Amino acid sequence: MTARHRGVTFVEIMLGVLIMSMAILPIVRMLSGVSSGTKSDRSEAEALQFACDMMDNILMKMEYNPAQIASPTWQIVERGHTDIRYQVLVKPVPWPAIVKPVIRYHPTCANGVETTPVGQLEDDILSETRDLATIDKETVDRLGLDASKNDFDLCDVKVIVDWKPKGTSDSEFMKNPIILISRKARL
Amino acid sequence: MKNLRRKGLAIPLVLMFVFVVSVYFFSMAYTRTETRRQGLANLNQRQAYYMAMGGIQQALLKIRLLHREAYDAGSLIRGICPFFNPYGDNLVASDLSASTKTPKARNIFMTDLNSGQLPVSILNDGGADFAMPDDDEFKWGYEVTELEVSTYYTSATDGSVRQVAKVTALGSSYDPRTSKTGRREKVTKSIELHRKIQ
Repeated sequence: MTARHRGVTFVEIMLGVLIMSMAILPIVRMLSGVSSGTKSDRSEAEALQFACDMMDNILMKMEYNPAQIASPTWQIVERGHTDIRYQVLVKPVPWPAIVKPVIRYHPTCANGVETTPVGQLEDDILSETRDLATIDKETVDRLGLDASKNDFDLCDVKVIVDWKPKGTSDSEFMKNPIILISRKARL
Repeated sequence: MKNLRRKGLAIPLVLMFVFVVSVYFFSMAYTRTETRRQGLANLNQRQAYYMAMGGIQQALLKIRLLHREAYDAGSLIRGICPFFNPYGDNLVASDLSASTKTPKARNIFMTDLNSGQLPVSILNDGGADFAMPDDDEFKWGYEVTELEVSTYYTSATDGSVRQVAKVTALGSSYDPRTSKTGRREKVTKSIELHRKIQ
């Protein structure tokens, strides 16, 4: 009875080792994938934050100067656990014609409250399409501004941020670059 | 008899251990997948947000260029005569009649505040690797959807009436690398409209 018990235990152990190795091997492989994926996610989050910071800076802080904003060749930076390279592309947007409301004059209403019946008032509100350059020149002339510094311009901005986890080979670049696009005005 | 009962203990133990470890690692893999999905959703959200910011920039530029028209449009939304001098002690009566309010001038002002009139021109710049295609259904662009005067006050510095307006832009983006559908995001910015003397 005792001998039979030992023999069965040995077979059980062998079977156990076999089952465990069959189960553990793919799990270890998956664990390795999860680990590298987590590193990759962390780097992507850092790269996205970098791209957002850069776009915020361009839209909110930088002067309107396409030549200064643009950075058409790769610039390399490090941030946290990530190697980053980025480009900033800029393209002026022509805005040839502008639609503006024109309100036909009527004498000032008492106490400032509009008294013209709505139907008549709406008939007196017209739509006019004007050339931006003309409006621009009129405004600059009227306000006595320096036309070179007070122009009314728009440009499209594209921020491309390519990234890889620090310590990995350069072939890791270009896997999933982050691309943000917006439009900047001279304000 | 006792020994016979203990005979099959090792295999159930191993199976249970393997089961527990599998559950643990599968939950890790699931968490990672969710994190990845969240990261991609975050990227799509930011792409649409910056398109909406582009709309806000265009609206601010137009308001800077046509500040008087913007102020007058705001006055008409409130039921105020656009030719009323907003400076000095010229206070507006508080009993504004709703029947004299009209958004028509505001609607005209907003007509060209969208990327349909000024398409985003930089989508394909930077080479094929960085091109962002426009889909028939999902497009990159924006539209200024609201320009509302929320309140107004008299400035203590020059006594002029200042209108506090909210500009809202709806941005949309489509990145086929990360999502099968487009993403929309709304951005609102508060600004002050006032009629300059000059």
